[in-house]
Amino acid sequence: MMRRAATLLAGIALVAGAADAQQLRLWSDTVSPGARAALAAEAARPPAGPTPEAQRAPIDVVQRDLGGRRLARYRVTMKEDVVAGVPVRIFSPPGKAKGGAVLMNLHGGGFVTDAGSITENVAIAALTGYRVVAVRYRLAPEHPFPAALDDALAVYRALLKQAPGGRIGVYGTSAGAILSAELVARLRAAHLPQPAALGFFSGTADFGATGDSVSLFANPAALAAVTSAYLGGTDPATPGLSPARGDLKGWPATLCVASTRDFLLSATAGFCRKLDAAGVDARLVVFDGLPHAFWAYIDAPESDEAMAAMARFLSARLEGRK
Amino acid sequence: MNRSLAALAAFSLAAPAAVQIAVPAAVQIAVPAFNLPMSNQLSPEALKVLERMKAATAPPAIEGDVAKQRAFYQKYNDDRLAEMRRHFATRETHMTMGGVAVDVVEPKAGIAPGNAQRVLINVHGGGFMWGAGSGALVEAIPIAATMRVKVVTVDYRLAPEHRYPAASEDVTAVYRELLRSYRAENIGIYGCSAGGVITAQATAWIASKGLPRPGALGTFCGTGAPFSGDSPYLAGPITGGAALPAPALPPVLPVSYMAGVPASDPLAYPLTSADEIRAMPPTLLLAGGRDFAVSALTLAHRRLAAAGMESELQVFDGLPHAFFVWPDMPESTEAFATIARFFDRHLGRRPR
Repeated sequence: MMRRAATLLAGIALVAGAADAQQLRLWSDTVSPGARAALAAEAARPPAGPTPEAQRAPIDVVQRDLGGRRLARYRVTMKEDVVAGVPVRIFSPPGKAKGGAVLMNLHGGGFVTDAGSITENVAIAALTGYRVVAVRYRLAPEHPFPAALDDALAVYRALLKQAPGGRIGVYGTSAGAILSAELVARLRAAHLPQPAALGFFSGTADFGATGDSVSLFANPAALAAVTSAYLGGTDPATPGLSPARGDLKGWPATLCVASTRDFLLSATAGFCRKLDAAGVDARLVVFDGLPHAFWAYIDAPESDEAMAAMARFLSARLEGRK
Repeated sequence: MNRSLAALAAFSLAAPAAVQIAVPAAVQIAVPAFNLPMSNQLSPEALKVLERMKAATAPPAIEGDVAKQRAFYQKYNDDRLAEMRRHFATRETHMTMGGVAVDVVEPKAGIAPGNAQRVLINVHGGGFMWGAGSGALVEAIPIAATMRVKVVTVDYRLAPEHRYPAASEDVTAVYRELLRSYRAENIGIYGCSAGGVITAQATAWIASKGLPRPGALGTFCGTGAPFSGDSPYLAGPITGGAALPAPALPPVLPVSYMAGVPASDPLAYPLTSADEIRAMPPTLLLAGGRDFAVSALTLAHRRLAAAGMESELQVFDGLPHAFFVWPDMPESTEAFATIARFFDRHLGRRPR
């Protein structure tokens, strides 16, 4: 669901010459030259094939290439491991990781691919100083809802035991943001300890409130395909799939991040408003002119800025600061 | 305020269509025409209000005729004020404060005990050219009633008769007077559209006069920065208006009030100045998702956040510029509550 959005935007550029076409600058004046170059290179990649395997292969390459560069840049080490039977990637900051808290990531990739288990986490480990455990949950369509959520819950429970009295921050991008909010809803329903902070980076917490950004920036067929792959046969109205419709009082402190050419902007901003209205410590940061989840797949000053904002928020809330 | 695209429209008139043709295809996307539904995040009441907004849009023929625009928006704001009075019970006193005319708005339910030592200053919108009187009350009444706090709305000097920094001076004069009764950290300043711009400008102006800065700010639907980003281009077509034909946005606000003031002036454009950003009080930025100013607000918020300043952004999907002058929808009630909560969290309470 992440690179796909960038591809969709590139697709819009090809449909030129419509009689009533509105001219939109290809790049907003707020977008850095670095981001422009990186997004142009990204858009030039050949489109992924139709099968899950064909979709995963090029995205795995991005994780390895861009992820490898980020590991070197931040001098972060990555270890493959298994927690509670679920494969994970553990990221350690240079030197000794801070104790007392651990971060857990649920990566993006439209539930079908792993588009972030490396790229979403390297800078966060380095900038916060905490260990990050990235959950490589089972993917759709082979494993539809609630397989990914079950895996996330299993790892979360294990982390609770590993660090008794410790604090956990949970964050995710795109599909991972959706899963993160669903995980919190499930923890609340089960009266399990909630995370001290939630990073909700371009997601949705209400499958029925897609808003303007889906109308403007999503390919309806692609979106329907991703949603149905994730849900399998589950009714989208199932409680727990749309936490924004439930009681949000006492929800953990949440940072919401999105961008203005992101089809999940409306859903992300809408969830932030719902949290704020429920008295939750909720913040929204929006990057103008950039596509969905850009921080996970391009290197640019804006990606650095996004990671810095995420790390600042997670550190502060894990350490009991505003 | 009053969802006038006046500032932008004025600018687009200045940009000949021929310029558009000269723009290389590589720097723009031809977005095909398509039917955009109303956002499915909106309440049923908001859908009705959007219809009424459409019917109340200023006729294009009055564009650029300040006298006719003032007459139009006077009636427009009178209508909104009548609606506000159906929702909120306040009493108003017209007076002079620091030599500047103001309306002091107080909730009929009484000022909340915790707000006795607090006051808010409202800076009304209206393209720097109108909005005094009923327009100002439309912005002051809902906040006074929702938060149960005293709101002083400033009848600052308007363009084109007056230019920057007239409004900053007038807000500062009122603020200076209020400092005699209130601690600076107990005073909040907020405004919508042009009022959001002046709120940020006046805060920088206040500090430049050696006065302590206020305790918190709200810059809504406009802020102390030029228009930027995608929203000026998208807002026209998605709110029933015209597309902006210009290839690039000017580095300054294209309004008569700001004519001749350079983009580098930190007191005029404080949200583009690193020093001013680092000195801003806690700031709430709020806008509709279809507002032409929303991109400028998101960028200002990023700058505040990156500097570690306490700031919050809220975006109301599917709604246009200054949507909350229309009180007959839960989204406006929510915006008033958000604003009240923000000031309650950040303003001091100690007596002077």
